[in-house]
Amino acid sequence: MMDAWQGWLYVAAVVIPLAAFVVQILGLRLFRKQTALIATGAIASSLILSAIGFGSYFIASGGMPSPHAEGHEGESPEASPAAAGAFSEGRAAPLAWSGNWTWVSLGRGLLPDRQPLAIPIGIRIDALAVLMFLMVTFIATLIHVYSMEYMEGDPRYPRFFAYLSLFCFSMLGLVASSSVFLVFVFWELVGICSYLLIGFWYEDRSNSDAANKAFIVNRIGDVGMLVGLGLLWTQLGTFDIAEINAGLSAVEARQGDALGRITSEDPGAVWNVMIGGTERSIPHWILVLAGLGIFAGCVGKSAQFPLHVWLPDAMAGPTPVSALIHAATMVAAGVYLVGRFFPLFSAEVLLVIAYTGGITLFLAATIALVQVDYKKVLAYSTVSQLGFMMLALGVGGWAAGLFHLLTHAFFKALLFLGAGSVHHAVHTYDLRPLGGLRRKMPVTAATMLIGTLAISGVPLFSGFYSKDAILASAIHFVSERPGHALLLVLPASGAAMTAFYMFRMWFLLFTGSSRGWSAAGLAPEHGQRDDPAALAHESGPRITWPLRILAVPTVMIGWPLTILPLAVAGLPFHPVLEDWLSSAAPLPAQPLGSAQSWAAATSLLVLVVGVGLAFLAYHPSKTIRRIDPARMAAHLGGLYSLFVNSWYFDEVYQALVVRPCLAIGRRAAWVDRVVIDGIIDGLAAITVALSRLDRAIDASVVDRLVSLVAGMIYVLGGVGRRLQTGRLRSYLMVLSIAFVLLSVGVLVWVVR
Amino acid sequence: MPPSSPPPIDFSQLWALSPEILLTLWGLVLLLVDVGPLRGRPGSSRRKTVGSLALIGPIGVFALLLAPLVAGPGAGGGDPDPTLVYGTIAGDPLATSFNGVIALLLAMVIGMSMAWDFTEHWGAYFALLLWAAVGMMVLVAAEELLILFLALELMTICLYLAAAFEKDKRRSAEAGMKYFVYGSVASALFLFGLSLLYGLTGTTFLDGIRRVLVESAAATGEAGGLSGDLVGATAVLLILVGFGFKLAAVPFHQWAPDTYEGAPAPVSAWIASGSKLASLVALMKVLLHALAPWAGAVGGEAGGGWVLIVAAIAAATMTYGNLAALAQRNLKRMLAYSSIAHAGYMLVGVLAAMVTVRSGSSAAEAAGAVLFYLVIYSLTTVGAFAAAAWLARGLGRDDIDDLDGLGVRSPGLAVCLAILMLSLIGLPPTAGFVSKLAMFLEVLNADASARSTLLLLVALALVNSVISAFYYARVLRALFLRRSDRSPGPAPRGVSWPIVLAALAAVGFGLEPAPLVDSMRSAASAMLTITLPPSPPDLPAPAPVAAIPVSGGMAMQK
Amino acid sequence: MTGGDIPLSWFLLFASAAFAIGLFGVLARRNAIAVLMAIELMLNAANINLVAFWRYSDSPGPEAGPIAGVMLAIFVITVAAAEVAVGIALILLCYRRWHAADVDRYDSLAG
Repeated sequence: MMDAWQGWLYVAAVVIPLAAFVVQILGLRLFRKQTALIATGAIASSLILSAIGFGSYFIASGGMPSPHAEGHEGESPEASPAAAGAFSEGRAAPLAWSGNWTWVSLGRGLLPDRQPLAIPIGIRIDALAVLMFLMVTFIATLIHVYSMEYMEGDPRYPRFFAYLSLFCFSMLGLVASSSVFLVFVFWELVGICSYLLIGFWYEDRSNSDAANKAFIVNRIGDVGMLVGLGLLWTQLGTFDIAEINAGLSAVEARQGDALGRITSEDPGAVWNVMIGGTERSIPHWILVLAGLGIFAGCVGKSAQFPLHVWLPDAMAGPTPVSALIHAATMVAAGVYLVGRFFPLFSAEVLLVIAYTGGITLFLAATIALVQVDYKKVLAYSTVSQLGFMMLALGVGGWAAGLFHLLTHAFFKALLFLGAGSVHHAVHTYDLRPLGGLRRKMPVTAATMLIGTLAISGVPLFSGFYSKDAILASAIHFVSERPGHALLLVLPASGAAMTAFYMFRMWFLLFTGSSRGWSAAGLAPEHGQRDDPAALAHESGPRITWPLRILAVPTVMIGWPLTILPLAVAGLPFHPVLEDWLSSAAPLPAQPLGSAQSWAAATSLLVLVVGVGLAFLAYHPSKTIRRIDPARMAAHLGGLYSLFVNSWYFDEVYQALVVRPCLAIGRRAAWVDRVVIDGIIDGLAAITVALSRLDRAIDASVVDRLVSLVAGMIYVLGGVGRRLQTGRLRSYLMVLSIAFVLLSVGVLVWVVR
Repeated sequence: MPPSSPPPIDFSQLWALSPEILLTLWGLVLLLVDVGPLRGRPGSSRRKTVGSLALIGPIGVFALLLAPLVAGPGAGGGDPDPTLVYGTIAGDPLATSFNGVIALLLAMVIGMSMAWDFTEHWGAYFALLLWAAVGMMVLVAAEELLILFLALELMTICLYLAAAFEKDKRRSAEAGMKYFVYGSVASALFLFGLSLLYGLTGTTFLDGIRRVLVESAAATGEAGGLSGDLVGATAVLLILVGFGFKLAAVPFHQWAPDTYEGAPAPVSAWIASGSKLASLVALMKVLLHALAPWAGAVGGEAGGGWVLIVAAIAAATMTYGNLAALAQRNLKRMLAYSSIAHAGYMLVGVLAAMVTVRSGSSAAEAAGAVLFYLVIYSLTTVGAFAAAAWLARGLGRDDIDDLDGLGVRSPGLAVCLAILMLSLIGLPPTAGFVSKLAMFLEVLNADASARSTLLLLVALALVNSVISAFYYARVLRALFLRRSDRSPGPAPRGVSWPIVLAALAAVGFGLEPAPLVDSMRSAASAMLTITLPPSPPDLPAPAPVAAIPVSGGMAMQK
Repeated sequence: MTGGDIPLSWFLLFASAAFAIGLFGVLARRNAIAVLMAIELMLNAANINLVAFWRYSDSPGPEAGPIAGVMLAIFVITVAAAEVAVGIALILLCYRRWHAADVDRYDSLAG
């Protein structure tokens, strides 16, 4: 039941990459080189469909909605009546195309009062999904083109493109899904693609370890998510995101809060929620628990503290993969999901989200300051930027967070692809021996400079506007809740550090002259010559053109003015994209008031500090360079080594989680040997002692002698004796002991 | 005490037992063929001939099950009364559908057995597999404790022997021996519990026990049940031990890893799938149907007792199984611990069904979800064991590392195995996911009186399924991320088709589970509502033998 | 229906004692044959229960059906015989591999 033809358009956009994947996998041997063309063609057609969909949405929704005009009239048929009902108070429902089917009906319960266990599938395309589609397909198409050159000559070239197609399918499906259940399915699928692609060069053991780490860390988050989904399902009885959102946006508890959040002093308070026409209730504490659970899944996927450890390692995969999956799209899925489920999160959970984001962005930024591997700099930078987005969502800046998601996708993809281009030329990720690549790789240098300017938040580049929006939301929140001033300090200092480490990287890579391995005091990697940049040259057109093309949105998508016919009169400095997003927000946006000008001032200030420090420390010109980074590092001392070692997270996890788990695993198998056998042998000793009496009556002399010896050994105790498992009698002893213990348990209760 | 003379057996009822009869006779035929016409032929040729003949058994069962569909309703035992032979055996949808499942598993196990020469005595071996299947079918259908016990023994005695069938391998003989001794002790405990139950209720019929318990509860005017009933509690516990052994539930699991590792892979598969399947169904029949009135005595969740004991066993089973599986290097041993863990998950479902039963409503949804889980688990686990058979044939050993590089050499089968592993972890869109989801949602939906216990168990199960991802992922890593010089060679047909079939089932029921869920639910509903055939009116009212007081000094009637 | 002068509880106590002795034997004996015998003892303890319960029951209710305790006992005896046969076969097999009938020696599978 699709309510608009555009819905089918998007279904096609999702399914085409899947079809491409199937064709490629079946013809893995047959097509070889052509697989790249199939994959690229598929994603390009998805891009075209998304563009058509975007245009159609733009027209159908009546052009650019005015951000603060309440009661905008959607002229197209609104799909979900529940959504319409929920938005009826004050706001018309934003346009959304949806189609819902029942995938699996596990049958109505045998009793009439039971709800049927049906698993719905469906798509829902709203403004956010339209934008996400365009972003994902656009970047993915460019990355496909880029990969054709980057992966050339790889023995598993066809397989790479097959995986990419599978990923595109999963990611687009994740964006389009209307039900929690389907979101979870695609959520796992993107995880599997990520696993396959991180471990793509599995010959190197560290790569397959990184893949496993990513997989496992994500599963930890997913447990929380499953618990959250289970709770929601039992309480609300639906899997439909729009229904859940509509129901929860209308909860009366929002009235009492200045920021429009669900707050309650009493954890036992029960909210009545209208779900698809029936009233259901959910206690506040379950709502909090469900929110935390779902957020846990997002923490894993979006590499937030404390589960951020997998993302830097995940950069072991090919660089186009890092750009597409681990920078632009998949890792942003956690942020996307928090945005999708926004009305679900109560005030407490939002605070947790904000602080998680704040801590993450700060931690990751400090680590990125000192990395000597430029891909790692970008990796930690990604973690940090994702933290910005989470923080924005947590402080109520829904549009700001998702705006940053979109701008970040473009500039971070650009930066990663640029890094890949550099690696393609010099075959190392180490910053120290490199330098002066600007002359040899002008296009890469220029486009990466654009990316750097954007991520640092230089005005007129997209990153400035989105970061500005985040700071504005944070300032607004802090002005309402002065106790949470940290939520402003963290992003402000994080933004300064961002500008610093990005310029540091750019200076070290592209300016000055090549330092060479020996000058950096290092041994060349993989038997390279001393100067890795000696033979460097600009990459081919299939690498440079995607860079050039990506540079355009990197600059432009944040602009207040676009080429589209707009109705943004009166707001000359307000980014179009953000307005577009806030018109689609599940909850009405809070007016920010004076926070915006404060935010602009703050972001300029931190930019000057960050960039200034980077110039002072790393600019090639001696006259500008005043700070010696090495001495700075020495001054920082312990802090420096803390950053270099990523705050020792891996070590701590190794000591606190991994080793104990392995130890328990080994122990559990050997419990028989160590613990149970000890007990058993003690008991067996008694048994045997008794049995000597019995044996004295029967059996041969030899038997008695043997058992006497065994008895002696037992009586002397299993202490210090190397015990073997696998003995039947000890198994039976466990059985008997267990039976006796269970009996005691039962009898105590029975006799009671 | 002269038993009232029962009506003669209606032989048309035997139609409903035709699968069992067919397999029994066919086992004899296989034995005779092996010692008769094939005498003196080399082992491998007899393996192929007898194995192919043996496959006719399950195929015949399918034909018998499908025959009524073809012939139209009423052609076979179209009796409205679902019980047969004085109500001792059920001919309900549960029995029919599980006959089909068991025949399918049997066919897969026979296929795997034909992979390599691990014994000389092929006739005996295949006959034992078939007769074990007979035991399972009767066990699923049993409505009476004697039949149940006999079926249990028939099944396990065949499996004891089959486990020891690998020639020249010490570990196989050891596996059989351990399985036998442990199993016999568990059987004895079970039988003792059974005898106490008989003494308490005066009947061995499941529905009869239920009626007596309901009536005695009504007579005492209490909530009924176990409180104060020392002997009853002991009987339940003894029966639980017996079933705990069959299910390999902690702490009655210790035979399982040794036996699974030592026995030939097809036999391990048969023990892990068919035996576990049939035993769990029987356990559910006894707990949910016969002993359901006693579940009422448990009271609130703080009341402890039965519910808490099953909960503790379930929690311990899944946790221990998963943790121990982490440290395993041998594929079969890993699968053994994995099967222990899955038994734990299923016990959570059984517990939910029990909690629902005691609230008076029908627990068919929860029980149906457990049955669904059970079927999916059995199919996938047999497929996984087929991989072990493949390794044993090609390399003579079956460690996880021996799977290295199969993703390159046999990509098709490796993908199928990967699907099976994903299903065992419970990842969408496989059937393993849907079955876990359905079961745990039913658990969460169960009667509210024990919700916090059940919620905790579900959370623990989820944590455990995460842990399980670690060791299943090791198989995936071996398949796809590692290289090796040693290869087990191409998979024989007997190994490849069970793997492919299991993978197809895992994907197919993942995408379209509704038919299976529906049939499992109706099977569960049949299981919970089955009653004795109407009794002749001239018989007197029931009389429990002994109202045995707590003290154990049983004041006896004269 | 009376059972003579001996009260039912005596039979039950006797059966329990036999069962306990059997269990003790299984746990204490290392000789596989002795273990087998102990298992038999446990099975027969259950038989005593069954027969005693049957003998002392008043009258069969409709639930009792045609299968009474004594029939159960007869079937259990046959099952026990089958178990012994299988057990002896397995013991012989193990004896051939290890040259010992000591169940503690069969410990190659562990962990």
